Amino acid sequence: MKLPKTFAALAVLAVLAAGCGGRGDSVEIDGGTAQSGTEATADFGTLSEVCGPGDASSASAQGVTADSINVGVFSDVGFTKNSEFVDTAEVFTSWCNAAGGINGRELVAVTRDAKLMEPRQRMIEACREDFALVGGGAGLDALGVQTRLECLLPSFPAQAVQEKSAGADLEISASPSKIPGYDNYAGFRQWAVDEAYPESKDAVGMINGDSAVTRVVGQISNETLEDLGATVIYDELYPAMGVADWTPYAQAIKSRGVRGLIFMGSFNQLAKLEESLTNMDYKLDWIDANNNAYNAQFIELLGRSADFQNNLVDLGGVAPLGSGEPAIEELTALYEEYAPGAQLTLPALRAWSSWLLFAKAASACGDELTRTCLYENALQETEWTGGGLHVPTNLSEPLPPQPCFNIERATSDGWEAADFGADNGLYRCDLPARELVGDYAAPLTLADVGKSMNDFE
Amino acid sequence: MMDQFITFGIVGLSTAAIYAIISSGLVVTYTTTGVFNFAHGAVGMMAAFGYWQLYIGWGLPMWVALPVVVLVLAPLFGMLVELLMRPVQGLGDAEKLVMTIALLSGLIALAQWIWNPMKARSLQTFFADREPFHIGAATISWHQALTMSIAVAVALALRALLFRTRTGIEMRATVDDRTLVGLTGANPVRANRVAWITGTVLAALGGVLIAPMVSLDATQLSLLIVSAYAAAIFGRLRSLPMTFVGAVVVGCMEAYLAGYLPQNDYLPGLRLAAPALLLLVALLIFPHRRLRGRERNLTQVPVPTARGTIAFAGIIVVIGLVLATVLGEGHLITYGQIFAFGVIALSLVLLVGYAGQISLAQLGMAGIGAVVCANFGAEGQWWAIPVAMGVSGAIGALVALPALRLSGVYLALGTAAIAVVLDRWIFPMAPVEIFGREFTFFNQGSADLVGPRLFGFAIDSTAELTVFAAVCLASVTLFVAAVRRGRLGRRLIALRDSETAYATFGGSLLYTKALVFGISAAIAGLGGALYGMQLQSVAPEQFGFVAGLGIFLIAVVGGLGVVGNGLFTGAMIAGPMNLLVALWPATQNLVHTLPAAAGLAYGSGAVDDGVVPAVRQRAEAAFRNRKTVPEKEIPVEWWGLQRPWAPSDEEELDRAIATRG
Repeated sequence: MKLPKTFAALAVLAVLAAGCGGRGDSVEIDGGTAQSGTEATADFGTLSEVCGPGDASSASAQGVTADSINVGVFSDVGFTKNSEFVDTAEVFTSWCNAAGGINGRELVAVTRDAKLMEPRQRMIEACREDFALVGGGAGLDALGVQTRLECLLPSFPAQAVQEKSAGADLEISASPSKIPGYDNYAGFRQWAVDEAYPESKDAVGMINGDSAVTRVVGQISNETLEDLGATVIYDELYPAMGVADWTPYAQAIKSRGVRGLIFMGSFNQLAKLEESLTNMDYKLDWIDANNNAYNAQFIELLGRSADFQNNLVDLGGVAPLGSGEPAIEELTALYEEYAPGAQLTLPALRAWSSWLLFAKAASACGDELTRTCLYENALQETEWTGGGLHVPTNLSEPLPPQPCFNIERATSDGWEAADFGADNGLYRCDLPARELVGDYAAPLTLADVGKSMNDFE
Repeated sequence: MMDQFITFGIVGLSTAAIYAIISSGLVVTYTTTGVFNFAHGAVGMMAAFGYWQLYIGWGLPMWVALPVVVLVLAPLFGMLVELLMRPVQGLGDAEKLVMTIALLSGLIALAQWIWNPMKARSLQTFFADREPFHIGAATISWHQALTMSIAVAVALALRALLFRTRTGIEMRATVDDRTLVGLTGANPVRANRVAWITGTVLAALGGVLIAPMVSLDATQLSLLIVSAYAAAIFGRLRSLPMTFVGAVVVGCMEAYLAGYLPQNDYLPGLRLAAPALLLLVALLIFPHRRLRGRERNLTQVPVPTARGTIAFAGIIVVIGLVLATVLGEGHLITYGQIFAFGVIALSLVLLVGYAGQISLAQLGMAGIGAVVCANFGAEGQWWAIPVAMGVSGAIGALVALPALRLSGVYLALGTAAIAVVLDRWIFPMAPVEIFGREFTFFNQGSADLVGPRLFGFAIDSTAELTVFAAVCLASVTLFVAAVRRGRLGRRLIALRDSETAYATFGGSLLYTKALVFGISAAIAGLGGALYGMQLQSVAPEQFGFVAGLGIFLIAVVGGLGVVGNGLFTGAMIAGPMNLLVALWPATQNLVHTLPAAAGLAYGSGAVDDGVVPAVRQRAEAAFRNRKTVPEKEIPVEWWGLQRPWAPSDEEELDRAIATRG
């Protein structure tokens, strides 16, 4: 259900998007030079000395010199104007470099702006210049994954979107948003239709934005619901360009008596659909708004539907922003210091975890920083929590995924935790993720491009 | 059951009211000025944003903000648009289209520049605090009720304006014969201005009413109006009452489809494409009067010389080789698209430039080419390319069947509808079995293509593919030039100049149209396949309707009559905009408005027959005779006085008088 935020606008504006690309898409974010010997220590949450001074002296791999490490950050910012990954990169590199960089090497983040249509071009540039990809993501990421594997570029994505890309080889997701072969929202679904709102079990509805990505997500949700014994009585698409009037959809939902709604699309559109529903005085038991809606804008757009309807999102084991978790508080402070005005979002939290993982693994390599060393160090992490940002993930064995989920509810005062039976601190971990049986495109492997781990250096 | 039927009907009526307001604005501008305003939705979008800025952004009271937007800013903007459109008034349909498309893309770019799309903005519906009322099981909010009453009021007011006032009669007369209106002492320019102002005010009204119902997003608001097009076509772009009927039909159809369409893997896309299909059906069912406003000056289509064309083709290949050797792979993919886009643009030269058939679906045809090539050429089979060309050609020829009944702006709308159907229904469709073979569209979000193997040599690196694409563009350029020089080219131009005359001389309209649509779709299919091969993997969004508008825009600016346009369009799309952003990243927002600026400059007559012919003329003058200063032109009345009378002068005068009639 992790969609590109962009997709509502996918089909449009290519008038302008068609012809934009080139060198300028690689904007270097320079977080200030590494200052060796400063007093600042880069501790974050439960992690200590993520970054620090050192005496690195060799150019041990592509993108690595004695003084700097070049890493690529994928983003669609040129298309969506959403700068969340760019902001995270800015904050992390500034903070890390202020503490001395990685063994004295300055961390340089280069934005690889795919502008939706150009993931492959940016990937080729990344292949030529970067040491690794960290803390980014692109809506059409499947278009670049083959190139990435051909040049054996390791990736620590903040978010993976398409089936061919999520969980591909040489990819380590610090906090995976999508797991190949599993529906990681199964726990949420099961809780919703079996425990919390059993009356909704025979009256589930689904509305998907019309794009190839969401169609697959829709099939997966269908499979899970069927497996749970729930009945989908309404399954509908809406055009990616938007809907002139949501009233017919709302009327159809009302007249079919839908009680639980899964909405996979842009939250702007959902807010308008809910306005129609609320106008009709029709209240659903629950609406899965999908976690792209987990932000303040959505609440603002909802208006009076915020309290009238029951909007839920599953954060999939990431600590909520207002939860008072020490790691969240720390990160909020860092954002205020290094990128005031930038918004902390769920993908940004995941990006931050990826950056931490990268920095920790790279630091442990010392002077001999190679891709193999980086990759193997990162795989050592069997209980990675990003310093306390999320539930532990076993990176050496990503499958089956960690079973925890946590649900937030929208209210007019902001997001608050729903009553979902948390049994492990902020999270609930007793309903395992469900393995899919249907045939969905598998992630790309090194073998698919004629390479093997022996080629990896 | 009956209850539900009525409920959905009432819901449909509320949607219909919005369409009615928007489409009546379209109709008013079209009937008077003969311009079908693709930017109508974008104007409404600007009004909605302007209203947001005044009302929410700057906190002005509603009773100030609303009149300022609808009654002051919108009319001013309408007058500006009229000024912009005046030069194209006498030109062909393609040129008029370009102006409005340029306006559309320019307004979207501008709005995104001014109002950062990342910030959530919303407008409250009017009377949001009043409880909605009920009719049966249907709920009507006061906003909806307001919209419906405004729709009715607009209908009555327009009727009164057009039939009860002098200006209205002038406006209607302008449509029939501008010259005649001028002769009777009325002012056709004034009539046009009134029409644009009325149209803009209606667009603004529609924008302000629709914005609270949808999210305040520049592109979405601008492009929502496909359904309103369908309503306008019901009224044949002329009759307001029929337009209102059309709006009701479209609105109710959408509501009933939402309520009753059975659900399976193939049908949801159909529902999304339904307004476009309805538009197509309406175009075909309602008889259209022959398009008026034939007072256009048809541009000459120059005949390329054989030597010149061959030299030009050589240059294309050389450019391909140079790019392939000089550029790194990443840049090569970006700039190498020159050739694939060039091929697609050449398909427009043949179709629009020679045969005068406007098509907005060429990029969709390219998408078909790419999909077919991906299906059959997965292991680099070379014959997948001709198959792809064949399939897209055949589909293109099918498109020609509706084209038989349509021309000018109707044809543009019809092909736009086809492009939208491809976008929303066909491309995202689940795999189908054809002859026991599974055929996949962009089902998994992308289609993968590999370069072909020719004579045992695999063309698979980006450099090789770039050269291959350059060779293809060169061959297509030669082919199109050959068509122009040959019999088919003369027939196509005869068809463009007058279909009636062409038929009178015994030409078969059906055959010729099907042929030219087929050939040009095949060329576009080739372009799509090349494009896909260069990118390795393509997504349906890359072949969308809106992307196609951009190519159309630049191709028309380049000049549709000349074969050099292929390279020009390709280079424009892949070149300068990338380069500018690359050199000065800060210019990104500005660069987005460039295509629009180019289109407007073109339309306003700054560039006459397009850029390519202009460049050629200058180049020819420069090469041919460097030393002679061009002779100063002496007006005819001074012949024999300011210069000696030549024997040829008399003959020339006679001829001029004879042609004037």
